[in-house]
Amino acid sequence: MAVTWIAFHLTDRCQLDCQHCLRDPGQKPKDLSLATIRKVLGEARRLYSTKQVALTGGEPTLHPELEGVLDAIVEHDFTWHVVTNGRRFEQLLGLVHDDPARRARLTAVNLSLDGADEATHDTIRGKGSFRDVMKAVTLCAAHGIPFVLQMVLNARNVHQIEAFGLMAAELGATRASFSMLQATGTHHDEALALPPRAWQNAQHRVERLAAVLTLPVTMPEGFYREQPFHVCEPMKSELLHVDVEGRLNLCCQHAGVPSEGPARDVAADLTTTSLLEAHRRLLGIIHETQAAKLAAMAEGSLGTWDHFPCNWCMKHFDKPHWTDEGARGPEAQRERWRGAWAKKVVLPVVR
Amino acid sequence: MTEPRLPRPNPQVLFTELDDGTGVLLHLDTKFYFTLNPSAVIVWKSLAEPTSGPSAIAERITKLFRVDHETAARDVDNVLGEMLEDGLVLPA
Repeated sequence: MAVTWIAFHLTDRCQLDCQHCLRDPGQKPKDLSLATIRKVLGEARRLYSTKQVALTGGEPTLHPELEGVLDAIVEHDFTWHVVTNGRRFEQLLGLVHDDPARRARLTAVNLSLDGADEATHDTIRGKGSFRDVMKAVTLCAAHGIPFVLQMVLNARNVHQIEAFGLMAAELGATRASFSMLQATGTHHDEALALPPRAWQNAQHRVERLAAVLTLPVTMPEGFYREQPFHVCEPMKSELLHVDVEGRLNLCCQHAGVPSEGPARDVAADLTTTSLLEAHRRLLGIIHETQAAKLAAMAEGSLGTWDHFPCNWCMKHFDKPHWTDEGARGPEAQRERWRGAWAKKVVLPVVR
Repeated sequence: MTEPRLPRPNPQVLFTELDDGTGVLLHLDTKFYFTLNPSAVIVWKSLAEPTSGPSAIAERITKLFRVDHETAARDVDNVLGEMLEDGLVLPA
């Protein structure tokens, strides 16, 4: 076990307004400060010998000091990958090509693609965005840059799992990745949600696809786990996540998602606290969370939804979430979409 | 004699121009990539201009590259024929 990578939530800025996004477009966007990034990179290198950085968002290419971020990565001798919607890929490519050291350290471009065809993807992410991704794919292929295609599975695209995997292989991606939708707490959940059994079916299809394709096919955390005491990457401290405000928090699924009361998944502000001390506090959060899970297991109170690790944590940290029978679903409703109240959702019921 | 009409780009084909003057076509249905040399890029771009004919494209190529008009015209015909066969362009 080691701190193998640091994820920086670079910015809340984004040109898109995807239906499954946990970001609130009604909020004024924030940018992670370059000074904090430099500080954390230096500490992570010195403390843990960490070598990999992930740049996420929002859309990380919209960070006003992206060039400085790339220089900091080079100076601290990290390798990096970026998660992008592809819309500003030519600008990113320009920055990468301006300095061979930036290119040499770029391990992958993760492109968000939510459909195996234009209509499906654009319905979820906005008109024209499928072609943005395909253009970025073409540029990656032309310049020999490894790229990953990653899909957030939901009710609108779950029928395309196999087509998506095949498409990733045909296009020359180095990996296809399928993430599980997290409830947004907005009216979009109604159209995107799947019941637990449908999620498990989707998971089995992804596993079967992984077995037949030579292309690596992966599923990040979130899917059903038969064994309820599951310890994910962030809980193992293999990943440290820095949110857009420069705080160390438990994971990217939680970062910035509003909760009732103070955000209990936040360990410390890294602008004023050392990474070592923040990590020490994070271990306390992890310990408390795992103890709560053990207690729930002992009580026999875990339902089907509690076997979905991220969903359980969302509930534990009072974030918008689904639970079995939707008992607490309405509480997850939150303001979004320029201040309009989201429509109430009837959450899926599975017995 | 009237010039043959130019085929039109298949809307399912995405064109990306590279810094060195070459280009790549991605067919969104078949997921095949097609590389274009700089003169083929001129041909592809010219398809978007309604007034262009094969002869006008060949003329443009002779001005940009060291090639006589006859050779350029033959190359334009060839590349348009190949694009048609690969479904990159559709008949006029």
